[in-house]
Formats: sequence, structure tokens, C-alpha cells
Amino acid sequence: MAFLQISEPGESPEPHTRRLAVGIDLGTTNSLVASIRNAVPECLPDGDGRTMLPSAVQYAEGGAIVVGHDALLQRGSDALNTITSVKRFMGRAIADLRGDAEARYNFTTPTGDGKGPLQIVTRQGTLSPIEVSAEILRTLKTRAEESLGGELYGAVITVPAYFDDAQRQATKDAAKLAGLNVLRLLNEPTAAAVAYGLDQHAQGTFLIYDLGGGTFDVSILRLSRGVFEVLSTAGDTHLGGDDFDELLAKHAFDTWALTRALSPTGQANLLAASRAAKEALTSAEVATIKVNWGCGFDSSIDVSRDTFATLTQPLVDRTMASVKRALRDAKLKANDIDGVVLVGGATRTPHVRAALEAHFGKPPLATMNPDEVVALGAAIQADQLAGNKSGDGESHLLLDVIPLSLGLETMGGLVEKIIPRNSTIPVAKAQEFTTFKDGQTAMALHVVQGERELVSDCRSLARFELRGIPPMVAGAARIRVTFQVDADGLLSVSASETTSNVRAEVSVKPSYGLGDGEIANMLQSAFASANTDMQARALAEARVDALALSTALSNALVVDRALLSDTEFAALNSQIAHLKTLVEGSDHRAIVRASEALNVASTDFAGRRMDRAVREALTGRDIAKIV
Amino acid sequence: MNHFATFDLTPVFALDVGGLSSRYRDLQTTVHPDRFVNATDADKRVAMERAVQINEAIATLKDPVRRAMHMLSLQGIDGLDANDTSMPVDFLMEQVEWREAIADARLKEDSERLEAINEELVGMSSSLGDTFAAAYAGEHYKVATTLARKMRFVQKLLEEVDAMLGEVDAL
Repeated sequence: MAFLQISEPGESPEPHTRRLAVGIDLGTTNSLVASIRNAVPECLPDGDGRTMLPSAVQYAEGGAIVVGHDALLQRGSDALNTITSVKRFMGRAIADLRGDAEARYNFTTPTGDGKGPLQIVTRQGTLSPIEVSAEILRTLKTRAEESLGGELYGAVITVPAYFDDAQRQATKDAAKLAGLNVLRLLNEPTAAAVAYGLDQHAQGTFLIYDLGGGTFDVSILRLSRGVFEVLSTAGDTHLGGDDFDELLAKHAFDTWALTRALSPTGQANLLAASRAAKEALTSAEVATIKVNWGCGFDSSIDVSRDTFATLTQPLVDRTMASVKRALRDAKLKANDIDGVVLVGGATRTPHVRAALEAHFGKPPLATMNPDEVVALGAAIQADQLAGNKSGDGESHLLLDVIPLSLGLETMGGLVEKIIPRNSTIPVAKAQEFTTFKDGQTAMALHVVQGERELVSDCRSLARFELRGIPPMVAGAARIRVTFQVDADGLLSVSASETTSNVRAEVSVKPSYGLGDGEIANMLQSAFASANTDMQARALAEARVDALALSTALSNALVVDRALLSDTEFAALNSQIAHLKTLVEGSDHRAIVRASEALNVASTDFAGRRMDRAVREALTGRDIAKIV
Repeated sequence: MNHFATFDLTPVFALDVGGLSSRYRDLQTTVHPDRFVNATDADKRVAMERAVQINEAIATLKDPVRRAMHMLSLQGIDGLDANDTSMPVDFLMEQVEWREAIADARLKEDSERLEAINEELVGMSSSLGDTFAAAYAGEHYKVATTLARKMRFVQKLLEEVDAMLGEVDAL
């Protein structure tokens, strides 16, 4: 069946030109980039044929930045300057770090008082996790451009479904910093569902169990006629394969009864040996953890599969608690699930699979490579969002949810929930508050995310103040706070006093992401470009955007002439003509202003076209029913 | 805003959930922002607005209590009116007993008992829904309003049980 009948001028690219779009799985341990080639999604390999890029960045002596396999080799010898698992630090403060294993770098904060987003001190200076992640993304971007033979149009970047707003924002900033046009942030289990669902032509209700290197997600989706609808999601952003490694390492350390604390290098070597043993245990019954401490001194220990299972059972139990939570939120029972799809390398662990089989009464599905399925799904989505026709000629739609409730602090440190978890995005909600003192002229708003009742137990996303409220008696002012979560799962909040129209707006950014100015500065210093280059670039971009807008709108005016009165039609045409004249000139600000004006002026027209499409979608159904 | 009209449906309590879901998917297929990634800003803005409104409509209609309250609002009745909270005494007494039973099961970490309470409450909520549907259809809006409020009380209990089951799972 045809999913889309409305024409969308400007959406489809010129014939024969495909926009190069990629999906990127920015993982805790490994990252991948995938793209659609010859109508099939595939992961793009590096020069040595390896698709997985270890998420490791070494800030080497002499100013070189080494990413991937070569960086990982330095983890033992240059532990403090070789950053791994940086994903665990995205959008996080020092107070969020859990355990010694995470606190293995020299951390600081922008203000030096330990508050705010954490930074990592390396020999190449103080870096934010966003900058470190950007190095990984830049490496994948280069790989993709060399492999696909051209400049990328855009990318879909995957994030754990359970990432909160600060972590999402940080990821998007990293992508921008790497020079990527972010088409969408996509939840990892949803991406996996797309790859799996389209590959297997699956229909029904599926549970995606995604145990990555450092994060755990579970999502339940309904797959029906090309629509992927997320019913619920749950998870833990501090639980992954790394934790299994750490428990093994601790077991070895305790057994050896070493008298001294390990150096960063010793710690890194022990973790690497533990990981190797864990991987060996997926096929072998016994594996050996062996560490050479240098100076002819080494330790080793044999670990059986049963010992490993016993040691790490508490971790598996935690994942199963999230599985139950997701089922309950979706109002489903275990036997309502048609299939459990495994995602993430850590799902190779035998007792993880056994726990799922015991709960669902059937073995989980492992038909696709659990390391690659997220990147493949992201590539499929990127291709569609870029406007390329998908391989089988049919488009699909993703309906995702926010993982954690969003709310405001109210009196007594309590949270008033505004948008509950598992709400389908995009979503917007408004709530009214009032003043509690006579003559109160300002109100502080504190935006938080989480399920707990106390503000102190939730994540603080932003604080802002609404000032200039006209003095009134207590309870007379009407403060309307609007939360909006877009299709990337990113929040913006605005507030206004409705009797006087005082407004305050925040995109919930400043606490953990980068300001737009900071990104611009970082990009500028990276290019060291002259001011004139920047202006030329701004003009070129303004022209491209303006031409795309006027072409799209001109086409729509031809197709949907009937939706406009003669006056409206003439007015829009004259504004298009005006914009085209400005494009001939070189004042980029004037072009941007006129483009904005034209967008505002055509919003009503866009609305009418949309409403007509909606009516057609509804009547189309009725006809289908009668037939 | 009539959320039933969004899906071209007449306001009835007993909805065909399958049919509603399928209309919802058709509408989102038409308006979702993912369809307009490369469109003009005006188109993007409109897509966002419509997608938000359709999501609000489905969330309202899928939840029995919100659906009932919405149906009352279509008759100009505010079911959540804070100035009118009178509830039958026997119903309130019953609520107290439920709360005690829930607190007791929580204390004993008795998830089976919690599941059983959950089942009972779901049954209660659904029979209240049936009665509401009949009262509303018969235009007995005062009765319907009291029933909707009772449904809300039961839903609050269900939410508490649900949160506790989550806690017990995590132990």
C-alpha cells in the first residue's frame, strides 16, 4: 500500500542524486557507521576491513589524537590520557560517577568547584566528554566519506533509549562539533527494531533487550504495516558489559589478595584480561585471567562459566527488573511478546540468554549480529530521513517515547510531573502555576527529570527565572509553563504569565550541553578561518536555504492553488519574488530575515495543506473499510 | 478540542481500541515530523503541532479515566472541579480499606498479594467504566460524573500498586 500520498515539494532529491546519509552507533565500547549501499544497509569497514571502531581516544604526546584500535593499545601504558567508555560521562557531573572504575581519570569542572558538567584533564588540556566523543564521530565521518566517495548529507546518531535530556543534548552537541548534520537522534533499541523488523518482515509485539558496553535498555514495540510504535521503555544507563568485566576483575583481585592498590596501568591491564576471559566464556567452560604486572611478576586465575554466572547474577537480575517494568508499563504479560530480540555484544553471555528464555518461555532471537544491528537500523532511518527512496520502495514510520518523566519542582522539594514517562513524542504539555506571596514579581522554575517524588532524587536539567510578573495578590498570577519534547527526545521549556504576557524561554541546554556560542568557538578554532570565509559561508548557506524554500513553496502554490484566495496567493508569490531578488544580492542577513518572514507567512497555507492530507488519510481508511 | 473528532469518531466510552490505534497510525504517517525533515520551516512547524495534537488525542482516549473526563468536558462538565469533591461515604471507606491492604502487602513485600489486588482493581475499574458508559449514553451526566471520579480514585490506587510492584521487582 502507499503510505504517503501528499506531495512534499523540496523533500525528494533531484532524480539520480542520492544524498549520502549514514547511521552511527556511538557505543560505550565500540562505535560503528553504516549506510545503505545497493539497497542494503551495511556497516562500513576501515582500511583493514574492521567495522567496529573501539570508542577509545588517546591524547598523545606531541599533540596527536589517536582514535580506535591504536588508542586502545595505549590504554595500558598511557591510561590517564587514553579515554575509553566516554559515553558514561556524557551529560554527567563528577557526583554521578559510580565506583573506582569510572573515576579513573583526572576530573575537573568548568568552575573548579566540582559542580556542573565534568571535564577530563589530559596532557592536551582539559576536555569535555563532548569533545572526546566528537573525535570518535569525526573518525567515523571520515571513514564514511572515503568509503562512500562524497560529503555526507546527514547522519542519524543512536543513543540509549534511557538517556536523559542532558545526555541526549551532549550527544547532539558532539555530532555538531564533529561537523555532522544530525538528521535525528534515534533510540538504540528502536534502531535495532527497524533493522530486525524490516529484515525479517516481522509483525507483532517485540521486546528489544539491549545490553551494550555501558548501558542497558529494554523497549517494547508493536510492529504493524510499516509503523514501529514504542509502547514502553526502561533501562539503566549505568549497567553494561563493562560491569561484568569489573566484577570479574574484582574477583581476580580479591582472590590474588594483592596488597597494593593497582596503578591506572595495572587496572587497565586487569580489565582487559577480564574482558577477554568473559568473551572466552561464551564458548568455553573455563577461561583464564592472566595479567603481567611487569618486572617479571604476573598473576593468573581460572574462572568457570558457573562462577562467572554466580558473580554477575545480580546484574542480570537488575536487567530483568527493567524488563518487568517495561512489560508493566506497556500493560502486557510475558506471553504477549512475540519475540525477544538481542542487541549488544554483552547479550552473547549464556546466562543472560538463559534468564530471558526462562522468563518468556522461548529462546531469544539472535538472527542478526547484535553488534551491528543498531547501526544498520540507524542507516535505514538516515536514508529515509534524507529523502532517499528506501530499497523496497516502502517507507516506514517510527513512533518513539520519552523514557523518563519530566516535571517541575514545587513547594517543599516535591516534583510535579508534567509529562509522564513513555509519552509518545513529539509531545507538549502546559501547566498553570501561581504566585504564593502578595506582590511577587519573579518565579524560579526548576526543571527535573525522573520518577521519584523528591527533587533531590531526580536529575536537575535546568533552572530559570520568570521575571517582571506584575505585582498581584498571592494566587492571582497565572504562570503557564509549557514543556515540549521534539522527535529527537529533546526538551524545551517556556513560561509566560498569561494575564500580562511576560515570557521566558529556555531550551534545556545550559546545564550539561554546550552553548551555541561554545560550539561556534570550537568549530572556529578548529578551522582557524578568517572572518571573510565565515561570511562567505554564511551567505552561501543563506542562499541555498532561501532557494530551497522558494522552490518548495512555488511548487506547493501550483499544486494547492485551490486552498488559497486570490489575495493570499498573490501575497505569497510576491514575497517569493522578493526573496529571489535578495538572493541575487550579498546581504546574508536580509536573506535570512526574508526567509523567516516567508516561513511565517506561509504557515497558514502549510496548515491547510496538512489538514487536507489528514482528511484524506481518514477518508482513505473509510473507503478501504467499505471495500 | 474534541479528541474524538481528531479520529473522526463519535464520543462513546466503549471504543474499538484496535480501530483507534490503526487510525492513529494512519494520521501519524501523514503528519509526523520525520516526514518533513527536508521541508520548509513552516511545514515543519505545522507537522510538529499536528503530531503533538494527535498524540495528545490518543493519550486522552486510550486512558479510561482521561477519556471519561474528556467526554464530560464535551458536555461542559469539569469532572476535576476542586470545588465539588463530595463522594459517597461508603466509597471513601472502601478506599481506606484498599489503602490499608496495599500498605500491608507492601510491608510484607508480598508481590503475589499486590498482583491480586491489581487484578481486583482492574476489574473494578472496568465495571465502573461500563456503568459510566451507560449513564453517559442515557445523558445522566451527574451520575456519570460521580462514576468518573470513582474511576479516578481506583486509578490512583492502581498507580500506587504499580509503583510498589516495581519496587518489589527491583529488590
